[in-house]
Amino acid sequence: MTHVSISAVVPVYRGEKTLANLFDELVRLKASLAASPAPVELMEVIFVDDGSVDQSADVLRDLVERAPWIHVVTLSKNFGQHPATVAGILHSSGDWVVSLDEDLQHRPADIPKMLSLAVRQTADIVYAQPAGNSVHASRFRDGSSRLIKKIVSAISGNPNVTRFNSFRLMRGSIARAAAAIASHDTYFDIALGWFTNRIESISLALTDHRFQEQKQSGYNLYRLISHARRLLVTSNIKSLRIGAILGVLAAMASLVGLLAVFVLKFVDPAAIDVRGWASLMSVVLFVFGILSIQSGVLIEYLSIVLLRVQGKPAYFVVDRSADVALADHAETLDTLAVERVPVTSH
Amino acid sequence: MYVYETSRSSDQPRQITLLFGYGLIGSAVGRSLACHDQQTIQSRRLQWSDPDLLEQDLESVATELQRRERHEGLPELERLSIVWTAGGCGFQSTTEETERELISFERVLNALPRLVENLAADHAVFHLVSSAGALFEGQRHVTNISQPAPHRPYGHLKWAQEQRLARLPAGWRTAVHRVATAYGLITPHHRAGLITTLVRNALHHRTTQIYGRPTTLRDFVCVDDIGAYLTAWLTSSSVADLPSEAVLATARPAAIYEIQHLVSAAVQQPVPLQYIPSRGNDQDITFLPAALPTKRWAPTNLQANILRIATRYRESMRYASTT
Repeated sequence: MTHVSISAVVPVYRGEKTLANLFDELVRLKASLAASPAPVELMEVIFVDDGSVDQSADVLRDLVERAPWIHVVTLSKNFGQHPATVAGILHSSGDWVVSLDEDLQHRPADIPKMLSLAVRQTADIVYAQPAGNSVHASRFRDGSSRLIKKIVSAISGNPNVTRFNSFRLMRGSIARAAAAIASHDTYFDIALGWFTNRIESISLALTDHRFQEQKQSGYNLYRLISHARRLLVTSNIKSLRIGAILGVLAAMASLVGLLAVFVLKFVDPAAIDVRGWASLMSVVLFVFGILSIQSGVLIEYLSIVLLRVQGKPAYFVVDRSADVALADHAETLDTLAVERVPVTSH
Repeated sequence: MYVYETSRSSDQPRQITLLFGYGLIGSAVGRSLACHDQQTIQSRRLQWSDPDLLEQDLESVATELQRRERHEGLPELERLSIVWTAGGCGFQSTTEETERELISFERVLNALPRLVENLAADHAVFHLVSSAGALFEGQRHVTNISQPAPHRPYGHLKWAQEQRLARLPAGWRTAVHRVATAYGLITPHHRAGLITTLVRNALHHRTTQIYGRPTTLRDFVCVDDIGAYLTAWLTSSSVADLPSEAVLATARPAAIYEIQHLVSAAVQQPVPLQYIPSRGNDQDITFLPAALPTKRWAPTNLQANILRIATRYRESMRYASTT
């Protein structure tokens, strides 16, 4: 069987203290996979320097010297985690692409388990889910993140929103296709969902040691809200539809109101004791009805244009044929021993 | 074939470059040389099919160059460079076609030592533009230690050309430049690559047939980058660091699906495609950064280049419609 390759993508923003440890664990993973009977190889690791604010660039330069399978992509400024992930994915060529954070919150040693689940279930995406623990040991941080995802999931009708996590294993062709159409404001996981609904999650111990020790995070309240806005806007053709429906309902209500005014005027004119009221109300209701209809139609066309601009595909072809053969090695992948590096800063 | 010489007004040492082939890549090299104080002093359409005429052509080039040396008081020739980008064969070529091309290549190689002798150049360098796609077909994550394993006659031709360089006399420096999937500005008479074909067809509302799959990965390299890289070495005062083999790629693979999306955004129109299943053509060919040259290689951004190609082609269409 041809070797199945994995590309790892790591956005880097403030990683000078953790990148070396992450690299060590990736080296161990690569060696363990090479030594195992499973035909899987960690082929490349792509670090995306997303306008890093510390000495991460120097650390990355050193890592590139040590391993030819390390690739550094340097962005011209800080664009954010999703754009950086997209940039990394577009530089990848693996059969599978895994994105993970720079700070060992996500352990490379868990990647084989994610792959095992993917091939056993013929899934295209596997998200890591925190195994009962509080990732940041902060009720506000963890709670607000969960709450926002639940709200967006309810509004958008997309049940997968609650699974979204930056530690994700994706089928390479789908990851690159989603990355190809993602723009600056696209929530990447929503774009992934346009290409597949074969999504699984795996329970893993995820702990943001850096946040817990240093109370330092790339996210503040403003960023979380911005994140939520992007999530909502990307996923939300439905809310536009609600606008269109409301427009039609308002038009119908104004028509009913208009009829009511006419009936009242001719059946019981004495009930209207203000001169000109009936005419004025008729005009207002009529014009309001027209405007509501027009708004509804405009919103409907806007949603069509938005779908087109966002690049949502009409269809996408995928090849999952290699999963069957790799599933024979699922147990090997599940039990692959990869020595974990202690999470201490360099 | 074009012959370039360092402009007399330049303070660079005198060098002569013989450029065999003026197609997609050759014309990019020519344009770049023209921007670097290298002027065209001869151009000639070679008679590839007739060995005697070919030899005569090369003799007359050498004779003309010698005449100039004797009668025009030119400074000493520091370096003679040969750049080979010629060839009409491609991935679909038959064994017979590739064998004929190899024979033409060998004829030129055989004529070169005499040329160098007659011109008394201090140094002679042969730059062979080969094909990374043909040599590493079906290989992914190619590095500087990967071994070529051609599948098709075209790949075997390129490999054979690289091996033939060993027949050059001692004293010749050789450099093999293995180019990934090239693309560039659309020119009427040159073979167009995938990207240029997509742009052209999209602007003319034509469907493009693709032999492969939407997810097939290729490494797209702009020919202007290749021209700039070769020119940097051709005009360099020293070729001590010139690598004997280099892969000219970007290590930034792109799927056909992504190219379609980028072209569509650049031309602001849908890009209709018809995919024709084709075993062999649907295999990924990708390169890791370790495969790339460490000096003087600076590939430019794919998206920006596609936009540039689309803009220039649209301008030329507008110009053609008004004249």
